[in-house]
Amino acid sequence: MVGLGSRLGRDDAVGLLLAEALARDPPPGVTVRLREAADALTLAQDLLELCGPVLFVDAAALDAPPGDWRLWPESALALKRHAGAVSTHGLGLAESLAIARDLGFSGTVHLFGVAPFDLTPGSTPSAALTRRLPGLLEALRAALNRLTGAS
Amino acid sequence: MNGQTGTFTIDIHHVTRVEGHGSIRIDVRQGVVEEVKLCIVEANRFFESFVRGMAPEEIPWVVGRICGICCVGHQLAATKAVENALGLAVSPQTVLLRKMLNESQFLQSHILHVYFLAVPDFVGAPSVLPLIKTHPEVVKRALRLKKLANDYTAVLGGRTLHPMANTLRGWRRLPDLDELERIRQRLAAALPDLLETVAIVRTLRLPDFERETEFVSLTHPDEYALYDGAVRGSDSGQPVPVADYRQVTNEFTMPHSTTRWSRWHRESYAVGALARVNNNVDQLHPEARTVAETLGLRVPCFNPYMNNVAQVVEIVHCAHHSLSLLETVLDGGLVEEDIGFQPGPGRGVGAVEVPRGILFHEYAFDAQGRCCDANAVIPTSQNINNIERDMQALVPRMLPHLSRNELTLHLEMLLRAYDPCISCSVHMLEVDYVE
Repeated sequence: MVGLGSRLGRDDAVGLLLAEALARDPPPGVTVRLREAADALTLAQDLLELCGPVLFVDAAALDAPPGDWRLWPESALALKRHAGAVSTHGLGLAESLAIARDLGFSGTVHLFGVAPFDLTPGSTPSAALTRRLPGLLEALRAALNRLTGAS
Repeated sequence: MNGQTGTFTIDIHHVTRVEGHGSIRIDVRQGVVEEVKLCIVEANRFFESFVRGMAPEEIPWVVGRICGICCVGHQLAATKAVENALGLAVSPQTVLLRKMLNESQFLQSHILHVYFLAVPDFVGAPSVLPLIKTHPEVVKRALRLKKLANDYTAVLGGRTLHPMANTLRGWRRLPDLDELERIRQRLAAALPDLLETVAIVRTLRLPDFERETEFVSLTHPDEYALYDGAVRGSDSGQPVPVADYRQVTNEFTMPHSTTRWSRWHRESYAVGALARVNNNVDQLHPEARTVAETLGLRVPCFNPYMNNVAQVVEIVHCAHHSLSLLETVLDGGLVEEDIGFQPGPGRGVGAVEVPRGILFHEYAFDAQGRCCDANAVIPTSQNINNIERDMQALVPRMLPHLSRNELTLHLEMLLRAYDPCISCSVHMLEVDYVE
């Protein structure tokens, strides 16, 4: 499980917060990693090293109210591509996956996306998201159990 | 069609694979080059303004945000400047850790530039992405090395991007020795990857272009200067103390650029890997000197495209030197140190070498210990004048022999060879208006 995000964009930290909470008591067989403001190249190398099924957790633009979550397989993801990026700064998760796939990464990928309340600059998550974190953590554990066949 | 006849303009908007936005404009009239300009169009950043009023310990962490690539360098330059302003001494242990942190950033940045930004030019690819299919082992090696360098920074600084462990007088949380040992082992195991890197770069055919210029870098009597030293210009014998950096940078403005320009003993100067190797070649690690010879880098070297080669030389230097520093730390261990201090008034300058060249920070504090003045002179802003003069020399020489597309590629490669960080370079020049 890889938690993604930035702590400087309020609810953009949700992937990191959930990963930290999960890491305190990880489900059996699950390795938790935090990738704060990770660049696409580092994430691609992570995938190559992991060599197994991966669940990304991140804030995501959902067709759902803030605080809701969705679990998608990679095939259902509509990740934004950055084909016109003028530097490696512009590359994102889509490019990480594409690079890793082209270099032989064959693990399954899912995304646990959470609709944010507030993505304005700021180092603390919104109060609304903070209240939702226990429920989100429960949902994340259930999702991991389903994906690992533990339940 | 070659571009030597006719009247035309080449306008390269937003040169790709550089950090930030710059444009190149060339005007040719009846086959004669009338104007070559490197236009910097980024907005000003105002970092020097918004640190005013801040406490001393806040400044290094805030100004580290000037850049996502050189965040360590900005943090270290600011830390040293603030310590100088307040008269704070640091221990040999802290200096050792800071040198390692700085070298981890060199490894990160140079690997990124050489593999992902520069190499595609030399194999005719628009970016690194097509190389995944044609040269998968090369890209895998690049990713491995980049990740190792990132992890090296994270172990020392607490995280890869904008590390927070370093502070005034020392380390807020010392690195874990077991993690440092794992980094040492991985770095030692990566040495064959570095040799492969050298082998690849040896096959690249760099443009044959030279223009004599001055090279400016830190210099130190005891070591290849990356963290400490005085300022040396290749046009003069006597190094200048860092505190007198304004004698070196002599900043001025140009109408077509939002970044400040610099000059010292001649019309322009260059900073960066090639400048450092030119000025301090004898102090490189022996393995790095061998790599320089293997890759045909003989000093003085006035071919700016060779900056890419100099970066490879420095990758090898930093890897071997870091191994030595890691062994020193692992042998001696680390001890918690008192990092307390008393804020007060003062003014100080700090400089470090960062991947793109020498970086200066200066801060002043009032009687309440609050920042009342700040200045930062970034490597790319020191290089812009030199890059434009390179272009002005290159275009007339190449124009009769190259198509416009080829000339465009050469100019983009030239700009990329300096590994510019354009958005870092943009800051305000204080101008006194006299009525």
